[in-house]
Amino acid sequence: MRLWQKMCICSLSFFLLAFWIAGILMIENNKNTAFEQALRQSADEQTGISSGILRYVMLNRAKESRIEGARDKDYITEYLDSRINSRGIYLEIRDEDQIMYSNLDETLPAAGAGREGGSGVAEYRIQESGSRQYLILTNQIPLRNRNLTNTYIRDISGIYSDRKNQYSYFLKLCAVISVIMAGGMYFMIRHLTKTLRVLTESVKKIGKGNYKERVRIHARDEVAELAGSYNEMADAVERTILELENKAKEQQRFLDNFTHELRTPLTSVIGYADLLRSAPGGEEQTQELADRIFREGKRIEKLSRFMMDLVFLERHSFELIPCDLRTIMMEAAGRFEAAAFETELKCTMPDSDAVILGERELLLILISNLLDNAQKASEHGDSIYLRSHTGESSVILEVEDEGKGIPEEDKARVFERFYMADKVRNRKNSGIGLGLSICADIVKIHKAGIVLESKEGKGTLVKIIFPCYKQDTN
Amino acid sequence: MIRILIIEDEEYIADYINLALSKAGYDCECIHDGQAAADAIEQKRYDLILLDIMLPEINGYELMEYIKEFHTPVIFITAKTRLEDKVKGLKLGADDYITKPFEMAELTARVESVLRRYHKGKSRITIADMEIDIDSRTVKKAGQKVELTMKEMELLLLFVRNRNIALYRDRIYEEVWGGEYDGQSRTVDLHVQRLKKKLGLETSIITVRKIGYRLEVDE
Repeated sequence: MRLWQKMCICSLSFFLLAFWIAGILMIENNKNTAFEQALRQSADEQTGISSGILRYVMLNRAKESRIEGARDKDYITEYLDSRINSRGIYLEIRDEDQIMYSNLDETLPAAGAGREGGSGVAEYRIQESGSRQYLILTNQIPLRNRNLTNTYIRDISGIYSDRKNQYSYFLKLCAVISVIMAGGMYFMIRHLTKTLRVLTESVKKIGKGNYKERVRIHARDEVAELAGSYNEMADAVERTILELENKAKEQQRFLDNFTHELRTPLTSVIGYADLLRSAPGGEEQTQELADRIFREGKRIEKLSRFMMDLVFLERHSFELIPCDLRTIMMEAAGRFEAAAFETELKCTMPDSDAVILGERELLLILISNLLDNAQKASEHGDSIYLRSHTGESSVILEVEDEGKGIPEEDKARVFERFYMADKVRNRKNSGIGLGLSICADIVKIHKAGIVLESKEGKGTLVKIIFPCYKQDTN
Repeated sequence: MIRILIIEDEEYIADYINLALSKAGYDCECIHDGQAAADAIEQKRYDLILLDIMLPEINGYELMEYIKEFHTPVIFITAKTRLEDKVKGLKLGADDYITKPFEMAELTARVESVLRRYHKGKSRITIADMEIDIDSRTVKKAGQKVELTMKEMELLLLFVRNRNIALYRDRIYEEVWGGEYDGQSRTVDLHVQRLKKKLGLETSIITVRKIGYRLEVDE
């Protein structure tokens, strides 16, 4: 069952129940009040009649100087005839078994034996006869030598029929009210739960995959609060999905690039080898083809090496220990000079310690890659500078060359995987396009910063800023 | 002479294709960037274009749109092997698609297949003193018609297409009979012997030791 239906039915039921209880209480209260009143009135009247009879009889007895009550019956009859004229009141005065006065008729219940009561205290009972209800009070009239029983009967059917009417009216009222209530509740609750439905609709749309959808609710109640929170959640979901999509695209791009970089040299290797075995040409041509196969093979080797570096960087967690950058620089310089013969490497280092938190192998790779790039960009006779100096809270490493430089439009992209600014020249030098990318990864692992400055035709400067390692003095 | 334009930015690969196709008797030209290629196509007529998709500057697909206007058949060369890339290429109007790395024989076979489709391939090949009609699958030796079985014809065509190039036995088997060469089979040798006899090619089809056979002709 729907919430609004539950709300309608519950509140309606509850209201009707309360209404009923109230009505019943009210009607019963009315009846009781009426009854009390009738009782009081009757008791008073009966008392009045009793004392009236007593006085009258005594008076008349005294008047006629009688002591026994031989004429009591007449006195009582006289008295009562002149008194009772109200409808619905019946009286029976009885002396033991003898009836002194009665205006009871057959429809009335028998008076019955009176109960013994104290003087003047009325005992009452209610009895139904035919289709009418009667209030019967029994009283004692203490004449001098004997008690008379005063039975007072009052028709109180009115009270009961009143009650019945009230119930009947109440029922009708209830029916009308129910209809009105039901209608009113329906519209009110539908209106109040409208925001809930709006929310549900929106949520459904988002559920179907439309992550841009947001809930628009203008109220300020609890539902609006929920909608607000839901929107925040949808924001987070959309963001995450975008992130994931981008990540996936990036991965696909990387894979495409890698595949291309692998298959291209492989084409040369396979192709030229196929040529050599199937259609051998002269010695010069054979020499040239074999040389190409060799170069492209080396290119594949370099690619695989770099890929392993990348995987290594991604998979590993590295422990950074304090090391002096200077020793690492010297080692890298040593390795480089052994390979380089066209350019001149100039090294400058600070006199003081240049201690940073780092991983020796990674730093070696970093410096070699930068020197490699510098070498590739330079011409014969150019110089390459490897420098470091200490700042206030940092250690700065610099690699500078006097070579080709990087065009403005490429500067932003040089750190991308497989990106090569001058593809042709790089290919000749078996460039892969991963060198700087790996440098960027290493820099990140060392929590350092990397800055690239370059001018076309003038040269390039790569600056790496390491946070200084400060020994805990506490 | 059939003119083929090779649009490939990797120098070595362009050279290799050039060498391979030249040996097969085509006249080749290499261009390394898309813009220059577009200019060349506008100025000269080519019978076939080999196009590398991953070109710097211009996207191969975009260049394809441009080439379509000239109604020149195009074969895509690329390192992308995904099915969706192949479909995309073919949908754009490429006539065939070859993925790197590839062997010479595969390259020449595809080139020939596309040219044949466009009726630019030679329907009649004259070689030495033989006249081969590809469409009717007949061959005349010194003016005399020679009867060849279907397999013999295929074999002859394979040799002609790859003239002066050593053909490996397994390659011959694959191309003519289909399926894997089991190494022990003498099918190839038997058929080559018969072919040599029927067409008097004893001195032209040479056995290459440990490899297979080669049809030698003067170009």
